[in-house]
Amino acid sequence: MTRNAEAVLIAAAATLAAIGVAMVQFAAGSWLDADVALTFIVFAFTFGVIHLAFRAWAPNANPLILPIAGFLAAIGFIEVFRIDPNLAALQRWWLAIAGISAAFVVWLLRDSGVAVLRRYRYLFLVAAVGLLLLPLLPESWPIHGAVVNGSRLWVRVTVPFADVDLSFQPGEVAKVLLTIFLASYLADRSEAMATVSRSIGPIRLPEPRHLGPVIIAAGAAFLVLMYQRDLGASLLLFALFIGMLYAATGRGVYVVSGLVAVVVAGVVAYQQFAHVRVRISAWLDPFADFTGAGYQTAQGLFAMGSGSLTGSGLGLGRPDLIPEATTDFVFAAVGEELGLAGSIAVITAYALFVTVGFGIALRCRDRFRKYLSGGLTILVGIQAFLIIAGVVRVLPITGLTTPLMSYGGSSLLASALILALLGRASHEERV
Amino acid sequence: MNDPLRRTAWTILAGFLVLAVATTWIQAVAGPDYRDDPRNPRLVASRVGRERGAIVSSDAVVAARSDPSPDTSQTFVRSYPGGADYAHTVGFVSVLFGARGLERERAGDLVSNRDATISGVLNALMGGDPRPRGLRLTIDDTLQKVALMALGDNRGAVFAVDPSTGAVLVAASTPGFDPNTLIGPDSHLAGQLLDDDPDQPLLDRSIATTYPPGSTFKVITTAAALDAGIAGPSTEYPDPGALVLPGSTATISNYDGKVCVDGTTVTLEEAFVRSCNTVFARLGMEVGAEQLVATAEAFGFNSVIPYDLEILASAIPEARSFTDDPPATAQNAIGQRDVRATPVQMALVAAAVANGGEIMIPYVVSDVFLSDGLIESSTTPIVWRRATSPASAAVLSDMMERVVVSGSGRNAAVPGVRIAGKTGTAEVTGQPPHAWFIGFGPVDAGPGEPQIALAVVVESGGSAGETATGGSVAAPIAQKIFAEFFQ
Amino acid sequence: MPALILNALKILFLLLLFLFLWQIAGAIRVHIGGRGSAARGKGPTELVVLRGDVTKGKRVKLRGSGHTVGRSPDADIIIDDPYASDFHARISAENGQTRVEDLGSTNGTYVNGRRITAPTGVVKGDTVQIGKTMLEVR
Repeated sequence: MTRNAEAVLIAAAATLAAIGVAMVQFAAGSWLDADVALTFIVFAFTFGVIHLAFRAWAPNANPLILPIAGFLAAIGFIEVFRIDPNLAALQRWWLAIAGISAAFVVWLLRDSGVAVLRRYRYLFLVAAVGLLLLPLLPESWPIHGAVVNGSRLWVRVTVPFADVDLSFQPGEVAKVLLTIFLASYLADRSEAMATVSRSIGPIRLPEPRHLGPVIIAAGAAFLVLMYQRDLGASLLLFALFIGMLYAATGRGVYVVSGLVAVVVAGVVAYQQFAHVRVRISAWLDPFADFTGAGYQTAQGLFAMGSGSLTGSGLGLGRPDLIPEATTDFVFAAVGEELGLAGSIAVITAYALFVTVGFGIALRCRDRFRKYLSGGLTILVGIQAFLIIAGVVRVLPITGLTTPLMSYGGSSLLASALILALLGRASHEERV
Repeated sequence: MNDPLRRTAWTILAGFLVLAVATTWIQAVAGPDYRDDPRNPRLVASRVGRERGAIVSSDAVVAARSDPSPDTSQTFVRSYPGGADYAHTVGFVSVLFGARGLERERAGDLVSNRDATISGVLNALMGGDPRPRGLRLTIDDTLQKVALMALGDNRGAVFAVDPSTGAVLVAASTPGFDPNTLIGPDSHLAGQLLDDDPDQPLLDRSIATTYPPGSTFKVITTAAALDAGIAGPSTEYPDPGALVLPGSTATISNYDGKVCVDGTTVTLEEAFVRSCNTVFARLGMEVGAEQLVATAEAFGFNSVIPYDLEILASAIPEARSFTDDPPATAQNAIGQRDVRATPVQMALVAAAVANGGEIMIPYVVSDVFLSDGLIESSTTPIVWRRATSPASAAVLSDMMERVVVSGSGRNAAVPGVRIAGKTGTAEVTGQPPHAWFIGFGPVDAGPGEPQIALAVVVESGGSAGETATGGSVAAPIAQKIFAEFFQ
Repeated sequence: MPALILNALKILFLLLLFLFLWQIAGAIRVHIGGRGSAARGKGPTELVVLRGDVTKGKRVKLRGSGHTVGRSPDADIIIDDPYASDFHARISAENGQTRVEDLGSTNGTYVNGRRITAPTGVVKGDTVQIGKTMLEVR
């Protein structure tokens, strides 16, 4: 595998996106127009720019992460285009911006390597918590929080002297920053944390002081997210903490105590928060409150059931009937129009991404790079798992974006950061 | 130190395997169940975006139309320019709330077959016309609007037909709703509001709900007596203020508890005009359960009235259930106790009297027309059944005319037109009475002369509440419709 | 018939999706090595310690993703040898070939007694010397 092969696969992913858009237009009975060409150009540009950055500043970067990311982005984009062409036009801008941002990060780390991130870990921690707190800013401020779908996750910037509001979800980027912090912290402390210092009966515990900062960081993040009613992000961050702690220390006690904490937190949340109860009951029987809480889940099931094995065909289903079909439920939209075959293709692509990501982590000799690439992979893998699990009713709906596939600038930006960091980390290990 | 990382990787990959299995279950195994679930909006949605034929009133006012969507090519947007005017009859096609009314029942005509499905293509190859058809209604837009206006804020219904053809002239039910709110954005909220409204705006009170018909049922009791030869208009009956029912302590009294005329005797005609309960209770017992039920069934009770939309059957209990129960017979005979009727049924009772005892099948679609305006097919009036003999109908017609001229239905009178009618004030335990008026005009219409028969019901007396009577609340509504019709 | 064309296009598109994924999967197998070389039984499959002190086990199964050998607790094969560097050498299997690569160690890595300067292929029976530790690939 070489950079040339990567270029070919990126071109293939861009072609897939363009073909998909063409098929949507063909199904609608309209003539193909500039959208097809524009889609190809934007995908070629987005992933081409990162590819060129890799060639220039990370020539040994793993050549598979970009094509897989391009593939997922392509399928997601086709559905976004199919549901709302205007949204897709915006998404093309987000893609281009994400590509440039990733290339910029690769350039930024060209000499220092990802190691430089390790030194500024507390800066990242503060930045992450700060970003998570942004949505709590009062409405009257020029930069203020906004409630969307009952969760206070958005930040709106009112541009002075212009009637324009810019919105973003700072939590998306915060997750990546927290991963960097954790990787850095664990790289320094994992051995100490793996060492048993005291035992309570059969439970053997590490020295508390090594755990302190991690628990404080995790706790702060959860508190903020609980306050913002973001169930999905809380669960995602929790899984990330547990996953990274375990990967770094190999101590099962973290996993066990993590699971216990999740169960306890779940029970408490179930008893304390009505919206949690509603979600759980909608999960157990979405048809009990068909027009209310179970509506989204039921619509997702109808969509996927209607899709059957090979789907309705692009542009021929009705994914627009699914609430949030361009973000949380894009998987159901794919399931409807591309059928079980399409759904399995998406799951396979995420599995391949995770395989490649962990492959990078496994080959890393440097602890920080290992934990960083491992952590970022866990982040993408768990997020994809949680949201798809919500759609197919393996878990309650958590309300997360579908990595790389969802519409949205913040989510794509976070993904771009992850691609850049994985590329750099893999490059540095093969030098 | 790679082993924990490797295990983490396998755990996540195992998670994806679980997702793949769950997805396979949903799409391949349970897929058909979800796909065919009646709540799956795709079934309706497949029709929503398609071009549908227009629906117009008899006087060419557009009730429903399809226009090319400004947003998406090749799809159409349905709109109902009349708002609530035709909401119950025309209905709607909503992704969230399904299809109702003619939009549902006549989808076969209204929906375009110009699509890419194999059946659509085959149909075109076989020479079938894929264009959507339009429907022309028998409803008169002006009359419909007058009826809705007259009902006002009350819960109630008006159903009017041409007695000689069965063509529906008015089908009004209040409160109504604007079907446009159920198909546009926020239809979710609009539908929820309508569902939660205790006044049930979605319910078509003219055909889909029954009320005790009260004294309007005396038309049927009288017809039974006339047909059986038990009594005639001049037959004399005692005139007590209250009648103790045999074998019980229950009494039936007149509306105000007083005697009807002078407390001695009263003719059947006079009792009909003044709506004396004591006389008709006695008459009912004379007629007997068998004959009463047979006549009511001849008028359409206990049958589903054939119509373009589904009509709830009006009900009278089986004869043998009250043959040996004279008090029940007496109460049923004055339209109380177990008798229940839809407004459309009572309109047909009036129409039967107007039409010499024959009931025509009611219909609301007069023509099916092609997109170029050419009429493809028209509805031919068909006799449904004979309700009573022409002689009895003529006698009833005279008696009903006197009700409007000098009796309880004076409020329905229109100067210069011979109007016939019967009022009803149906007692309901625990709430104000339902106010009824059924009638027709002109009496003895010549050949080709326009005629109208109608039923008006105002639920729970409307704004008049406990003081409401058929004569004071329902008759004035009928009067407005008659006045407009004969203008 | 448009319905048939649309159906054919749909199937074609799905096939393209899986063709793409197949290419990626194939590349992963080659890139990470996967079970590729080892499982086919062509190349060497394990590493046996002939002399020296290795933290765990005298035999290590060769893995596609490779092993780092050194004194560091982070190395995959940790040897207790004062003459070895923290990350001394890497033994990897790629494209069905097992290679030994010196990671810039102080005292060098020897294959069959000769100090290597570049990644060097090894076959069954070759010896690899790291510090005073002697390994054999089998």
